[in-house]
Amino acid sequence: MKIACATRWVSVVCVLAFALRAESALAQACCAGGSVATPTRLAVYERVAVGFQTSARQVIGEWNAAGDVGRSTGTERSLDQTIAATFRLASRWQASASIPSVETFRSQEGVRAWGGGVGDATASVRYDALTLGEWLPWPAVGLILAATAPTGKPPERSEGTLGTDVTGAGTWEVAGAVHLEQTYHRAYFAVMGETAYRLSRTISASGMNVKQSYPLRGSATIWAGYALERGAAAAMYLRGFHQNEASAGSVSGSALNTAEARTTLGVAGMAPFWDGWRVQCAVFSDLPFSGWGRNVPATSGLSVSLVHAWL
Amino acid sequence: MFGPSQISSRRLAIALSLAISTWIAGCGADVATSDEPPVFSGPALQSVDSALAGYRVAVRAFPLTPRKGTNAFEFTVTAVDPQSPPAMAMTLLPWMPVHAHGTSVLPIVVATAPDVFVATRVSLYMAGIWELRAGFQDAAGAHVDDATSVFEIP
Repeated sequence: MKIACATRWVSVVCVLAFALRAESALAQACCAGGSVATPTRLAVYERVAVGFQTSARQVIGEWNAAGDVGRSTGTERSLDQTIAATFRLASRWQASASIPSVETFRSQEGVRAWGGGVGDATASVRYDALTLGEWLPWPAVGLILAATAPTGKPPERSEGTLGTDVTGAGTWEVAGAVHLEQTYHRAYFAVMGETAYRLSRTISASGMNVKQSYPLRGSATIWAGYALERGAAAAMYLRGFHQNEASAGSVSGSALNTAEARTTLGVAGMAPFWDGWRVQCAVFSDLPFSGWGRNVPATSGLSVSLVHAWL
Repeated sequence: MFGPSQISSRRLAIALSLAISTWIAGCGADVATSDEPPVFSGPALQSVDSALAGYRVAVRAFPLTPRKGTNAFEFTVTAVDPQSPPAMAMTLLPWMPVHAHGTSVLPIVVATAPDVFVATRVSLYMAGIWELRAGFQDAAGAHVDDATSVFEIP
């Protein structure tokens, strides 16, 4: 009975996890962190899952320090291919690892460049304190811890004209998240709050040493999904991201607001197509309205992944 | 023999490959840009005090309003502390403090007059807040002070 119930919701749960990973992984490589979400999240009866995800995005605008959005000059596009795997450690514990390959293209003022390579790898563990329907009417509660290692090329090692060969942030990041999920008939609702901290470091560039600290960043995501026939699912999500103001250097004393923010809307779908296989797609876009972001480019993109899970 | 779902998956994979190939083909390869000699005119965009308060630094830009891409800057250094030695050389580090990175292209800094330094090839390749961290050296090449100006690039 428990498995039958879980089967009904596996599609929604998986597609939502995928959708968040797709959007998070596509922020600019130099300033992106890892993501606590993984495209290979396991359903309660699954033991192992491996997946391949490919994503593409394009910059569609820029938010300035005042939060006003403007048209982006030049062109910036990114591709991302991620290999991910998740293993069940115990009935309520699952561990995941993922490593991306990142390619970036930039064009401005007649200069066109693109480059890429291996990005920052992420490992995470998830503990399902409560699963769906286990203790009604309480929602399912998942706790996630993640660490991202600087396996990609940091900005200071870039050799490309426009920094297109940068594939990582150059520092360790640890992140934690709380994930609440609830169902109502075929509908599914979820909320996730996440916070991340990156370690300070000293960067040598142009003969100078820059001691760089990183402000706390956090995000909140709400999902609404629907379980379709034959194990398929569709979902929408809205994600708000915020990074505190920089607290060091001359910018802290300037009139400019150095916080980062963005708001993203996404639509995702998933369909099983063979025994143990599922294909997942997502289309997402930052909402390019003034006041809905700050100090980041607004982007839109799409993502597709193929996942195989074993019981 | 393939089932309907397998055929759909194969078609999806082919369509996706074609779309991505077309998208990448539009990216092209590196192309060099022409260098336009910078001209600095008008009042300074910013005047900042150095960290040790030894100098006041007036910053002009070319183009007049710095933009995303390659810019040039002129730094006019005035000693406000009589104890400060003349700034004989300058280094420049463009830095994006919010994103924690600089540029892969190093600026070229030359002294065009006593106390006037021009930095070319300043590649501000992303929109956002950029710091220009100027370091000053004395005649012996020792670092004596630094000054940071902040620009928001649209």
